[in-house]
Amino acid sequence: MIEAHDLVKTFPTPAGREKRAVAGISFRVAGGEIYGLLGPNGAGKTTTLRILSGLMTPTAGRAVVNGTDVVRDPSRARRSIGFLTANTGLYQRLTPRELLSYFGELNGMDRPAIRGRVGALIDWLDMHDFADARCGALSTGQRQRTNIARALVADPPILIMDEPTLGLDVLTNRLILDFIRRERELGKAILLSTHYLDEAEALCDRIGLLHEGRLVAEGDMPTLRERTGFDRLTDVFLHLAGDSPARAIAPPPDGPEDPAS
Amino acid sequence: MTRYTRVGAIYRKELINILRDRRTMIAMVVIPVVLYPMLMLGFVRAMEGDLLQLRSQRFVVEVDDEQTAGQLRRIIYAAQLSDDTPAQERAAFDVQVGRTPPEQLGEAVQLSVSLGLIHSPEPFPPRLTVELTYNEIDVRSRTAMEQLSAVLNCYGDAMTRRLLAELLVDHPRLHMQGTPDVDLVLNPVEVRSVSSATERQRGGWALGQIVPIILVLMTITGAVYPAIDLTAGERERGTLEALLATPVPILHLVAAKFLVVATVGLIAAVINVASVGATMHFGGLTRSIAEHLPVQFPAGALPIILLCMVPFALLSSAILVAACSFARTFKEAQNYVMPIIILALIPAVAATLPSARLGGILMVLPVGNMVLLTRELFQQTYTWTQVVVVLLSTTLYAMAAVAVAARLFGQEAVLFADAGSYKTLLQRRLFRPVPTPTASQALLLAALLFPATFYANSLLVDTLTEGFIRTMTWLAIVQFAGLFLLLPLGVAKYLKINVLRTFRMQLPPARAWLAAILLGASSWVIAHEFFVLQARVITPSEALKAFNEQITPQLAASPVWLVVFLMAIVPAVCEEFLFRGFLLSGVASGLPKWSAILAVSAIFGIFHFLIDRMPVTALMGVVLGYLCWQCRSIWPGILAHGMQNAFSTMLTRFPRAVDWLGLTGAGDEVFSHLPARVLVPAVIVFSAGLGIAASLRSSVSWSHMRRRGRRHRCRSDSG
Repeated sequence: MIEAHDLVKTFPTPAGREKRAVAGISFRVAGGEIYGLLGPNGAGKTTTLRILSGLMTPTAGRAVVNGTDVVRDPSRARRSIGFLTANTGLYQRLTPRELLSYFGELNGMDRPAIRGRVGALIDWLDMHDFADARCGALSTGQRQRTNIARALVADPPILIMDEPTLGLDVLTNRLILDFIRRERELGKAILLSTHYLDEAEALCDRIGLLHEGRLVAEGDMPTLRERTGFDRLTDVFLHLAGDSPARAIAPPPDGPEDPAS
Repeated sequence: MTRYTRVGAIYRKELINILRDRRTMIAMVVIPVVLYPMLMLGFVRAMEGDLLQLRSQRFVVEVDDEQTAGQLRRIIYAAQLSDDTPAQERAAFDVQVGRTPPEQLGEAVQLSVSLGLIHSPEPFPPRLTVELTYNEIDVRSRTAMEQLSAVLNCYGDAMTRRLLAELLVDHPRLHMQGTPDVDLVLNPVEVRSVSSATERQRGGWALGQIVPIILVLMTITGAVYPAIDLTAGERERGTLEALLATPVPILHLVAAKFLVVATVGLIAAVINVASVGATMHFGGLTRSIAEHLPVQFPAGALPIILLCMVPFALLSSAILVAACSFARTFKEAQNYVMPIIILALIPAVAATLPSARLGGILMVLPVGNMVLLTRELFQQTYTWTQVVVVLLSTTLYAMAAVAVAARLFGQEAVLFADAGSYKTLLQRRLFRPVPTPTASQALLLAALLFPATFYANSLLVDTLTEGFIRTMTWLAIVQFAGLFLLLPLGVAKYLKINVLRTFRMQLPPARAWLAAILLGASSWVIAHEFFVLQARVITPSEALKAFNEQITPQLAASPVWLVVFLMAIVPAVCEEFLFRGFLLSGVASGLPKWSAILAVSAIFGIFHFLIDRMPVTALMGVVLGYLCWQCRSIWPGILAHGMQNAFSTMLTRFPRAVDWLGLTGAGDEVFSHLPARVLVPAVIVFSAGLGIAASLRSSVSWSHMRRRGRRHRCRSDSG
């Protein structure tokens, strides 16, 4: 469902040097699978997700989503993607219900379909209390639930989520994780980024560790454990991102640090 | 769902979002409806009251001694006896003895006066000299001086009349009964002026002084807030990325946003004008401005004004959106907007100068031309040429601004704060070589060339009487070689655009030459007939007749080869390079085949400033654009264009040709039909030319090429 082939993204800078945010990443996510991209700030997670959602054009490489090349036909590719941005901003002066309807319209849905889908999402994400209040007055958790509903309003087969649980309380966190698992049961391909290692371990079927724009390791937990000899993902990560072992697996690029976080 | 409903959905939502914001409502409704009237009325009343108060005040006047004081009091008293100003509006003077130093005049003592007498021969009375010392920077002192001068002048008048009356009584040649009429001597010339302006024009004149600038400035300022909110605001809130992730093409997104900004700007402008109109009407303000003229809103001009405001609103909103696109935060955007408003103020204020007229370069000066056209419309003194030129030039600028803004909005460096700096968009070092210019670059070049060409053209055509060939040579050098040929070539080089491909300099297949010859040999007949038909429907303008009358004898008197070179070859080469080269290649990168050909033809038409010529030029532009597109080469178009120019300028020189065309003796041959023996073969040849052009390639292969070009560009943009 999601395929990244040797993605590279560099940004020009006024000083003349190029910033290399993504330095050749390849991976696949199948339907009914949750794939977690893990990495510290500036590892290239957001840039990778933006390329796969057709928001940015890769400098080199190919990204195919649901059989569509995102560079060649970004509009068509976006139709099959629900993209949850890291930013939880909403239109302050619209209500969640209005906002969801609006994004339904942008996705080309007709009115009865929008009404049904929005109602269902409000049920599933337990949004009844605030569905008709202005977004400006919502709490962080309520905003994030609205955002997830927004990404899912067109019921896309592919979900790309940038840090879906950032800054949430325990209850909302669990609600959202359960919801993501539910979407997996529906056969969707889910790609998410996070830097909560425990959460990745509990949620993801496979994990890709990103460091300085490169994928330094990839696989399910048993594979990663076997490869590094560590039990916990934190240790695996520290080991891989640390000095010598990480470089042994994949030498980091010589470019400067990543501008995107 | 069609794209229009999507644009509609964005438009509706953005409008709701904007209108739910109290700040917008305050800026758009409360300020004009409440604050304006209060400010304007308050200000005018305060001014009036202040002046009246100042005039009717008591002033303290100092003199050197008691004797002078008495003298001055008597003069003032005598003057006021003969003055018919109402007592309450009249200043009073307290004359007292004192010696306040001149630099302290103002608060306590306003004036110091000294009187003197100069001896005059009999029977004239001695001349009175009065020296008034006042403090120029003190309002009260200055007013006292003015008021006392008026009183003294009044006194002098009375003396003149008395003296004259005495002289007239004693005059030996006059045997008058009773008191002589001194006015017979004092006013031997009576001047009366009668205004020829109609009531409506006079009313419109008063409105025309203020309303246009309010209309124009409010359209801009009204659009400021939504422009910021929909760009920098969206980014600051963090909602932009989610919007971009929807399957809506970015162009539709930008289009909807423009429409919202332009709508709000228009609404703001209309509310403002209505408010100002109402204030003037009900507040009695018109009396102060129009001096008792009845002020009427010229209702007939309103639709045209509103029609012109639409492209203007688009233009200003596009410029604002483009500027705000760079801003990361609301505050930053506000900083970018200020210089734009100031830049817009300069032409707007320049256009409000009473001597400014809607002609020459002012016709194509952005903002300024709108202010002037609105004024002409209010005064009912407009011409259709003015309306068309202002409307078309503003539309052209708006198209360019919208294209540029859309292009900027789509840049990653502008969309994502962390995706490199937008400064990299301006550094040539970082430009990637591209096959053709973008639509925004093409439209921007056209928008910049338009006023430059207009100015060069009008400047040079004015010198036509001094020497036809000289003018044509300068036109060939400045306008054609300079602006149409070298400038686009230079721009293409600078932007690292592939010159060969953009200007389609590759050689065409042999059949293309045949198509060009057939079209070039017949298109002038088609153009002529089109023009004749147009002249039957729309009366040709005076400007065109004058132009023809001026040109025709000059053409006949000049050497053939020179005329062919200057009026056929040079324009053909240069215009093809600009219009079918840079502009068509650029516009085609953003629009499908026919839309691109039509858009460039419309611009081609606008660039021929005579309003009568625009439609036929645009039509020929379509033919040449199609030929160029089909041949994938610029050269056949140059041949056809040159042939057509040569035929239409040269044919009338040859008596036999004129005879054959059946135009002899008609005088104004420009406006009469050609005989069927010319028309029928011409239509056949023309059709054959088009047919060969159509056979040159199938549209499939071209669209394939275009897609490839676009993809190539996408990649290079991302860098």
